[in-house]
Amino acid sequence: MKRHTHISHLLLYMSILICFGMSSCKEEPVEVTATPITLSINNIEDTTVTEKGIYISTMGDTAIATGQAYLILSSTYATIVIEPEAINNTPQFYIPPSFTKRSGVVNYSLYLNDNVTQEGSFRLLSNPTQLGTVETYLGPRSIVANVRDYTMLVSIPTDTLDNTLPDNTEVALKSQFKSKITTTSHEVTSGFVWKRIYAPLKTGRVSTGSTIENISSKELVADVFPDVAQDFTITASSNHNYADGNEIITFNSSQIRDAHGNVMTDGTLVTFFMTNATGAQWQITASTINGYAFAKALHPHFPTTWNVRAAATGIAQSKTITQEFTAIIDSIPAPQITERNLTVGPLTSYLGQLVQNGIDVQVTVNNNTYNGLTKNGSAVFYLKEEDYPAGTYNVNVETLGLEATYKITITD
Amino acid sequence: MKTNKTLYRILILAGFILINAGILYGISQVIAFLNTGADRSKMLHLDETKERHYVPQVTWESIENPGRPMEEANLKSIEEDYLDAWYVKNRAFYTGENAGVFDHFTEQARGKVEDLITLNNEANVYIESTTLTHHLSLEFYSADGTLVVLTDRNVTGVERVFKNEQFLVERSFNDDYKIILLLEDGFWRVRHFEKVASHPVDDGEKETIPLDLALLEGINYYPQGSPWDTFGATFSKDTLTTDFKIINDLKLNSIRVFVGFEDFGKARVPREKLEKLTSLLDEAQAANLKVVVTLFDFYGDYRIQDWTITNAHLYSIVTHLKDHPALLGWDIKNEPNLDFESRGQREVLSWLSQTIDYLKTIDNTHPVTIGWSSPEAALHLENKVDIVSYHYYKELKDLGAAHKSITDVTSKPVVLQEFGLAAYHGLWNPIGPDEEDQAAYYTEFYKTQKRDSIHYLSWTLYDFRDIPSEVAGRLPWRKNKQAFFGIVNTLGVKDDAYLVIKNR
Repeated sequence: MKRHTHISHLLLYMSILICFGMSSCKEEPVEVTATPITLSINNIEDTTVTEKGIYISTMGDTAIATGQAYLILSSTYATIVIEPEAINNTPQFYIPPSFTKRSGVVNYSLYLNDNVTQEGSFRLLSNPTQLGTVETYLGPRSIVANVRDYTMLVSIPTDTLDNTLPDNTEVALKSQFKSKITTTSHEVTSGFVWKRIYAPLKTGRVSTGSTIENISSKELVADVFPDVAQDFTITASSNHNYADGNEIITFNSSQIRDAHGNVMTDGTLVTFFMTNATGAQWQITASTINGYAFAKALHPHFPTTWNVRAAATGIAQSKTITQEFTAIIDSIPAPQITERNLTVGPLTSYLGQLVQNGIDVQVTVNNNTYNGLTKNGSAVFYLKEEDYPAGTYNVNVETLGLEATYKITITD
Repeated sequence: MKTNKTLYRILILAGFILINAGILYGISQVIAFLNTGADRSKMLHLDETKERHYVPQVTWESIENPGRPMEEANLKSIEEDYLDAWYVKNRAFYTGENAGVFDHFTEQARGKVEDLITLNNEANVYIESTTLTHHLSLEFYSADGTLVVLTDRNVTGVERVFKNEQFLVERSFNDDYKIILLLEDGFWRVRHFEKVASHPVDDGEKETIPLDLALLEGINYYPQGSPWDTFGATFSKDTLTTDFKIINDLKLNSIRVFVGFEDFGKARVPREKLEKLTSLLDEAQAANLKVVVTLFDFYGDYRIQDWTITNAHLYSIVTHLKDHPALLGWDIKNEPNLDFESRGQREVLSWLSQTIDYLKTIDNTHPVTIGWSSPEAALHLENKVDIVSYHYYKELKDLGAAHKSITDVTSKPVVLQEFGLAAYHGLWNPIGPDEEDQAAYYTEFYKTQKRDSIHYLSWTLYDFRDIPSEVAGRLPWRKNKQAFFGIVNTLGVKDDAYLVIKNR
């Protein structure tokens, strides 16, 4: 136990010692107590930006101890402090390139013997003779072919050191649509130029760019999309108009265009709304190709009338058209009963051919209703002995929009 | 032997149960720990409120522009991102690191900032700086809302330059900038940034605002039930009415109250606090008392980075109160010279100086003072204040000389803003002064006061029960002393000193 205490004490002492050791390692600021010097610089003139740095020569004492003189410069991004270097026995301040590359106003002060002795400012000017790039920005990138819409081209030309150019520098803004090229000349204000490019009335693509002297920007394009759709018409086409539940009817829209005759973009959704004679409603959505939308529907299996109307994304619509479907049979043949199998059919279609499989047939015997589907033209229902002992029954048959009642006799 | 056996059994069983309980507890803690962390509801960080550390005063001079009408929401996010760009830039040149620069500068501009950070790091230079006011106008906003051009005029601020860990110079600036921002990844990032003009900084001497009383005779005031917390939960108009009647009875004409910096919500001053402050002034007005409002109580961070926060705080309070007829003047801070040692004299003085400058831009009709803790400190910033104030807790016989040493130097009114004697004799101070000594102290004081016509505010009206430890620390002999400076004791009985003041 005692030993432990000793060890922990030792550790404590050691850590205290280490702490002291570290704090004493810290450098104390060195007091500069050199004899005062005299030094001055000429006013710094405005100059263009340079990546070589700028030398500022001084007048006065030539022997300067460290920390006696500083030139403090403050520009857009930062303030820097530079010390004089002796060049040819005269102290000079060298402003490094990372500072002189950036245009803007620079405030400087000469700090001498713990005081600011000289202050002033100069301007680093961008260099319009050393053009770098023309950055352009175009937006919105998709516009609509009407008289209201436009896209905007903004161009920021810079010199090789990425400084914006002075006001009144001429920049040409260009745009091209189909065979027409428009060039306008603009003067830089606050470092940029801009232009509205109004939408042409035809769909297509507007290309833009800008140039300043021989420097060109990248090409930027805006797509011109059709304006809102105008009302259109629809037609129905089918091989026949029999309500056979088999044939497919197609509804076509006319070519959907905007007010300036531009065909709607492929994929514009057109919804066809159908209502039949009983008031049932449903809809089919189709997307356009080259302005046309096609919707397909199966013929009903009972005679009825459809009212069909189409609408394009809630903006444009068609008039309602009417499509009639006529019955394929005049009457339902009498059902036959063989060994308790009640057979309705064979049902025949408009050419005398058998109706296709799957037509709904509903029979009602003694208030019991059975639903079945046709197969090979007929629907078969099995009447169980316990439900239907031998005797005569009324059978009501409903199919293909017709209804008929027959008597059948079941014998054992 | 048998009892021993049973005892062992019980011990073993109990031990077994305990170990199991321990293991189960351990496992459950591990499972609980593994289940903490990502909570789906926190995925979008919707619950995080952003605390702003940089709130310079921003004025939008114009948002008219030929490109596209500006939407309010976008204007706000442009302003925020632009100010954040300033903040990260200032911070980067202070710390020498590029944290946040990526988010607020485009690739090209980032290079420019980083070059200069490297340059300053190599030269062992760092810059402590902040901007204080911005006057923005929107020059251009592109049709697709992804590019703005701004001009920021009269950006005022201050910077301190350090080289090799040594302070070189502090300078204020007033510059105009041109900025092009691009919307990238949801941030408005700086693409071009250029200082286009630099104006001389207006540090001309302002005209001194006179003291609105022939002779200021007052008392430092806290309600008895809530010392150092006048505007806390127990704030009540009735208490004020009663207390101000007592002060009327003493025939004094003013009071000095304290507005806590944190109590008043730092940069965002809550409405209810301001209303409490107004109702105190209303009550004072009703009692025909003038009020000296001492700001920034318990504030202790004088760093440049904090200045926008204190300015925002100042702005809220001063604009709210400056037209109140009961307002006598502003005391920027109570005894700031006590922070010279811990915070640095230069930092404290330059904070005070800029705070006065800013206050004077908001209110140029009320005099400004600083409550220095001793006559020796009273002449700091004498050229900035309108009234020189100091506190005096030493021997009364030297008061006249101390006061004269100040009035000899300045032509501005000099106020003895705090003085008093704690009638405290108890466990920690058995031979301390009692009420009689206190009365004698005040009698003595009035002799000097009448002779030299000293403006004064005594400390204080009430004895207090609980002294917050922020005031005088936790040491009982210091803390308890603070409770006995009053002239009305905790039972509401008026001390002899009360009559001395009343019948002066």
